[in-house]
Amino acid sequence: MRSSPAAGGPDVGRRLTRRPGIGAFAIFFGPLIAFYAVFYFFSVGFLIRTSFQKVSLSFRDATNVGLENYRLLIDDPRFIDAVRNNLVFAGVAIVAAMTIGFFISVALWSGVRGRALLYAVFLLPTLMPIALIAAVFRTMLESRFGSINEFLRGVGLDALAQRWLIDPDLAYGVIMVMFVYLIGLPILYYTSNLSIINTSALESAVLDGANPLRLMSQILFPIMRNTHKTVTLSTVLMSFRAFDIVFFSTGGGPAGRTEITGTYVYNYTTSGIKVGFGSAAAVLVLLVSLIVSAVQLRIYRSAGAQR
Amino acid sequence: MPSLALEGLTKSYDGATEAVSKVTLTVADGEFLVLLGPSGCGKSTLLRMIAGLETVTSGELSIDGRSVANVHPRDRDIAMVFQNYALYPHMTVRKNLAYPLKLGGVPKSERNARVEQTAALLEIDSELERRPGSLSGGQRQRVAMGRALVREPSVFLMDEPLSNLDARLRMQMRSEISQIQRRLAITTVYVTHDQVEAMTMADRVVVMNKGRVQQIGEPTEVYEHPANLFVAGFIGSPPMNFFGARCAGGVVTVAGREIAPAGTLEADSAGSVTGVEAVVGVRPEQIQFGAAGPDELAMAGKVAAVETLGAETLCHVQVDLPGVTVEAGEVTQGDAGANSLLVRTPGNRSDLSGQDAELRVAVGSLHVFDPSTGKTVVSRHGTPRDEPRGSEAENRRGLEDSQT
Amino acid sequence: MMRLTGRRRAAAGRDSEDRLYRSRLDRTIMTTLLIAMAVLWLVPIASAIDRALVFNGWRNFSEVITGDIGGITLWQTYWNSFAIAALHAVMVIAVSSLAGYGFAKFEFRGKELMYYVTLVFLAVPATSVLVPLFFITRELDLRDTYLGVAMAEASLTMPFGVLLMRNFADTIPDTYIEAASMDGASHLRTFSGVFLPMSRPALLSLGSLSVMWSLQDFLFPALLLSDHGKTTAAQAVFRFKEYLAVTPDDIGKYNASLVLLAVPALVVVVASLRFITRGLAAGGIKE
Ligand SMILES: Nc1ncnc2c1ncn2[C@@H]1O[C@H](COP(=O)(O)OP(=O)(O)OP(=O)(O)O)[C@@H](O)[C@H]1O
Ligand SMILES: [Mg+2]
Repeated sequence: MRSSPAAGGPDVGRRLTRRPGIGAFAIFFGPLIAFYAVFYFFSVGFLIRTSFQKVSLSFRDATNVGLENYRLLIDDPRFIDAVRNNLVFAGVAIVAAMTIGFFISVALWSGVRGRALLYAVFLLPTLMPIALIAAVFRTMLESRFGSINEFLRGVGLDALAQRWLIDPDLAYGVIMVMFVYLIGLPILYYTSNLSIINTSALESAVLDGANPLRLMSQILFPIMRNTHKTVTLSTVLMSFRAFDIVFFSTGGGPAGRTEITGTYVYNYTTSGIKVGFGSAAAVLVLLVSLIVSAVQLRIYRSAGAQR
Repeated sequence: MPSLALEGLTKSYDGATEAVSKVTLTVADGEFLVLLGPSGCGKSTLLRMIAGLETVTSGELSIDGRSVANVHPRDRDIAMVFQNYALYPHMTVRKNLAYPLKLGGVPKSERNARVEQTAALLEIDSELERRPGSLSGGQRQRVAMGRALVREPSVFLMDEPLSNLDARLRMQMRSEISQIQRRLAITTVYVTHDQVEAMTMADRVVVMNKGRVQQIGEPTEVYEHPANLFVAGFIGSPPMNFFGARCAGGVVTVAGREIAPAGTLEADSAGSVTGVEAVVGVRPEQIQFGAAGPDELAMAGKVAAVETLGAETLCHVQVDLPGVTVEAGEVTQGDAGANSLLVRTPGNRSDLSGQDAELRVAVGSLHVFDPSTGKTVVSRHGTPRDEPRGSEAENRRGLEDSQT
Repeated sequence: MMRLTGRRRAAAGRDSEDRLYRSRLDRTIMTTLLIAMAVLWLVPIASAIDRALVFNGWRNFSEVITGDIGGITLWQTYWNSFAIAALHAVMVIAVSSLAGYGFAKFEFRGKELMYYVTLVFLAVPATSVLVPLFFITRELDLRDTYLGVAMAEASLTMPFGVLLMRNFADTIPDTYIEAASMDGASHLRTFSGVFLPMSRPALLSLGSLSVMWSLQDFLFPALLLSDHGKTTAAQAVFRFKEYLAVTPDDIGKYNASLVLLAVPALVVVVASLRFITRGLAAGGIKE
């Protein structure tokens, strides 16, 4: 009996044990496919459909309105502001990550006593419920009883005690500060990449007598190019997920000044009435996040191919 | 009945090049077969096809008369020892050994008995409760063998099982594996690129190159009667010496002396490709110092360099014979001008360095190859293996003769 | 002997510290800067603890711990959070370890495309899928259940889980799978008997991260749990405010509740910081 290769043609080098039968495929990928079918493919389809409708959160009595929601959305200055704020906050977070975060990581890496503890101080806030952190900021900055103002008054600097969350510009700054405060992930990325870099270039520069700041900016910073990419992309993506930061501190206010896409979509979704409109906004945000993810994957893939 | 039979077995990964090409061979019941060849020649691929870890592109594969090319590895009744051992790190040695039995549905009491028995055979019975991570390299190697043997498979496969061990341990395991294999009389296919392993362990050796079988035979046969230039050059360390020869009127001549009938050589219009009419090969230990006798070829030369290895000495002797360059069984350059012969002689002969020397070699120990096909035309036919090599005194005399 | 190794270690330590600094002064300046920043980073925490003690001191804490706040106790929120986090972790680990094994050890046409599609959803913002997830959960009749929230959270965690598990599975040599296969194990058997035990580090990372992310989540509990008895700790940050921050006098109690609501996440993060950082690094710096 001759054994013939399956279905003719060249054998493409598959290993017998690696070709899953239909049963094995179902067992290993079935759950994933089912999950994705419901939570992504159905979800996205559903979202796109509602984005063409005028509908409430009961999803009854939907009327088709075509592109109307999108048109309204693009005409809504608050939405445009939300997108812009998103980008501004992401930009602030990226700059902070690449300066403050980078500095902290390098300083930690270069060896200080109590390194683990310091690392935890910078990392832990990011790993806590963001709602909690934002709520703490809010109470801390509360104008009458907040500890910041009480402290300022206590040392006689009453003039500096501000209505932090009520003044639009100050509130805007406060959100920025919170984006900077949640710097844990970049520090984590830098720290774990610093532990695997080749330090020979650095060592010779130290022997040449370069000062630490110069070493950081001229040698370490360029070496960490790939980490900067990781940090940048993950920070952009984080900014689209940063609903809790704004929602729990300013709630998007005052008067929409600190609105980001997350709070914008959330407000329309949970208000229960303009769900179709909210969905249209959600579709656009989703699209952006998918594009950024795709870019990220491409970068990883080409980095992988180079190795 | 052969325990394992391959016919025209071929593997192509990309559809164009063949990693293994039309391999036909049989392995007898209880035989120890060694697949030997340089890196990338397809040994692992062939073994993995037998194991069922790679699909077969074309050809036939049967175990105990049953065609198995499309049978799942677990249903082939074979076991394999991997180069990295692949011991399950989370299981104790006992559990590692018992795992295949457990999967095979062997009842617990019998499982234990067989594990104990195998462990005793491999002398790892005192390590049964340890994890692989805490074992030495040699012990891991034994556990890997144990896990394969415990199933009492009909065919036992090993892919370079000793390559992760240091030299001393490798030597020890070499003889242990041979002993165990003989004791259990288990059909074994063993992959290596180390010819010492092949020569010492094998019942038969399969020499492979570029996916093709070059020669199958007992170790001595492969050594003494290489089927072609590749085998001649690959087997033996230090390697065989090659030089060019003339071929006219139905005879091969070296330095004006007829050494063998040309046989098929002339019919192939030898030398048309490389400019060499015939390639002659001689093993370094077949060349001796001294004046040539009647059945011997005489060569004069100068000892250019000497490597003393303690028990023996390797001399590089510059001789006036046409050189040829043989790479991977092919003549890549004909008539490379002056030639250097490697001569292997017993004892410490560092005194030879820089001397003029007279060399002799029995005509019957010369191999003749066809330079265009690489095939052996005349294989070494004389020289019984137990004939004493030239004694040291003889060699010394030859040297003195040449000096006068 | 002891002293020798001790000294050698000290020397090695100094070596690694000296890679950036020429002098003691350099080091002092940098360390001072670092500590100053750490102090800044601690301000919100210090403030919360300070505020938690105003008016009534430690009684604020004891009242939050023992009291009933808008129909739920603090302990109940802990329990709710952990129940959802555990369900979430189990789901993510189950689905993504299976798929991770499949992506790493199977070969079939379109595999990489399928993997790519899986990962493209890596960063979907929860806010943008609130509408469909609300609908799905309602249709599955899972509103006001732990499972409904855990599933919604798992849908966002899953791509990362698959990424992490595949990356890890790729580092396990194929020979283990092949050896198991020759020993007679099916793929499922190899998965459970060989792959999962060997994947302990990755599973610990993914498990810790899943628990942590669930404890961080506010949106899905807020959207899907209207029953006050099911309020999670993160959600309680919002709900407790209605009941605790009514009068200025209550400010201490509210801050105490914030501090106490941090406890579940803090416990998990501190206990498994090693696994969490390793998992995040593996997912973020995949090369
Ligand atoms: N999975 C694969 N896909 C494509 N080509 C492969 C694959 N595995 C092996 N090859 C190719 O097939 C040829 C034979 O490889 P094989 O591993 O069998 O060699 P080998 O004789 O075992 O070498 P070594 O001594 O280095 O282990 C090589 O050219 C190799 O590049
Ligand atoms: Mg090999």
